Amino acid sequence: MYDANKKKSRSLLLKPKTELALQSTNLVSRGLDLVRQLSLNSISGLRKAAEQGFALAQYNLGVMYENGIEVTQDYNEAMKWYRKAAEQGLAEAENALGYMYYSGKGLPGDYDEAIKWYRRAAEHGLAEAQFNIGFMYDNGRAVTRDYNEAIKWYQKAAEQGFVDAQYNLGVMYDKGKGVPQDHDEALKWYSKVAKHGGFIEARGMRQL
Amino acid sequence: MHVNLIPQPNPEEKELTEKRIRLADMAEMLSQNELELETIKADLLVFEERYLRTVGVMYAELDKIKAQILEILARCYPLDEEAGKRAAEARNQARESARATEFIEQHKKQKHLIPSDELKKLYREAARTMHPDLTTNEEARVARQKMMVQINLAYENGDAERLRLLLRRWLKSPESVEGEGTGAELMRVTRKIVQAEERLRVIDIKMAKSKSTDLWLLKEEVDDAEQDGRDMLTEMANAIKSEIDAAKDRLDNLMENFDYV
Repeated sequence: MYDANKKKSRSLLLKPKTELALQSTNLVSRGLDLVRQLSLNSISGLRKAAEQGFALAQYNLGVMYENGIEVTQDYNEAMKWYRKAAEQGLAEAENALGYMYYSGKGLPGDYDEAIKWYRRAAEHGLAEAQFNIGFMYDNGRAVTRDYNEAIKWYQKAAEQGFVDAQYNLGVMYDKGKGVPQDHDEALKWYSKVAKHGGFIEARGMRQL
Repeated sequence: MHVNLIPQPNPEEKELTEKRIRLADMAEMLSQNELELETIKADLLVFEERYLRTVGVMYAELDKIKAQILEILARCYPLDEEAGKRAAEARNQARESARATEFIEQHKKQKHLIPSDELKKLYREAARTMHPDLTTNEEARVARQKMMVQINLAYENGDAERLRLLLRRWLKSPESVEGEGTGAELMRVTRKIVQAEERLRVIDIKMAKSKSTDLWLLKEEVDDAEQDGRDMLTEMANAIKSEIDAAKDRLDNLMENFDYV
């Protein structure tokens, strides 16, 4: 079973839109939009925007601290910024904060807190968080193990094209966990994974 | 019996002295805040010009090319109402951007300068001396308002000589001295204080308004980045330049194909 919770380190930096379409007629307000985007391209600009309360900048700063990009790695700082962004309802930050609790980075692990934040992010429709909840049901962490619930959440994430969820869903059908064993259905999900041609060898598919 | 009368300060005179001190403070504050307001205006003019020269012209060029692209597309799909509408919008935007940047061409001669400390000092002195809210005489007020306009203009143009001249002239022709005793003077001083307070409030509002404009926010972003050693205006111009290049490629492509349409 693929555990994205363990292997994934957040490397994704959300970028604000850069398209300068015909939306604004004013040269000055267009410039203001542009300068704000550009200023996020430096750590000092990012920090300033984060301190001014922009959720996206707070999240990005959290990612920099969690992974030690351009700053010294510091899980406490990462937590601090994720939390600020999460409290503003940014789904990516809610999920990242949940992951910090899950993995016990910078503090003792806390599955209850983890799933609490995953649920918030999932409510905002974030596939990765839906997958994470599925995984917790799958493995009985913070909740009683419940394959039906796990499948429900994997399904949501898989339908949004989240590859890890597609793979795990394939496994559920393959092994008949929470559903009657169904190799056709398993193959369907494994093929989707294989099509991404990405990180997973079509391990399950070879076994079929 | 011999009584030594200790001279009692007349309460009215005492109040007048206190109010005069207060008025002097107010005049000081008033001249300071008028200066700040004028400085914001001057800084904004300088910045706007710099912005339009470096970034504004790039937007204008981009808009022109975008308008051409959409124009061609509209001609390729004459039945597509949406295409026609977009082309018209793009045309309008290109025209507006061009107009905004042409403005700086016309004002090329009139260079805006960042005010020097000397100029600021002169401005404060002039404002303190001639401020219209520091008189109660209606005629004098009108005269002072006219002076204030000239003072602001001289400051905006960075013309220290002109400020000195205005001051000299004013001091040579003093306003009629208002007499008629302590009571009348007390009333006038009180009135001046009230006027000054009102003007200070107005200045506060005007400053807050200026500082909430997009132009001011943009200026702040650029200034802050400058302190970090970043030249934002150039970065912006470069970002738009790459958009222009992409748009040009697209336009060239369309033009080639359009020959066959």
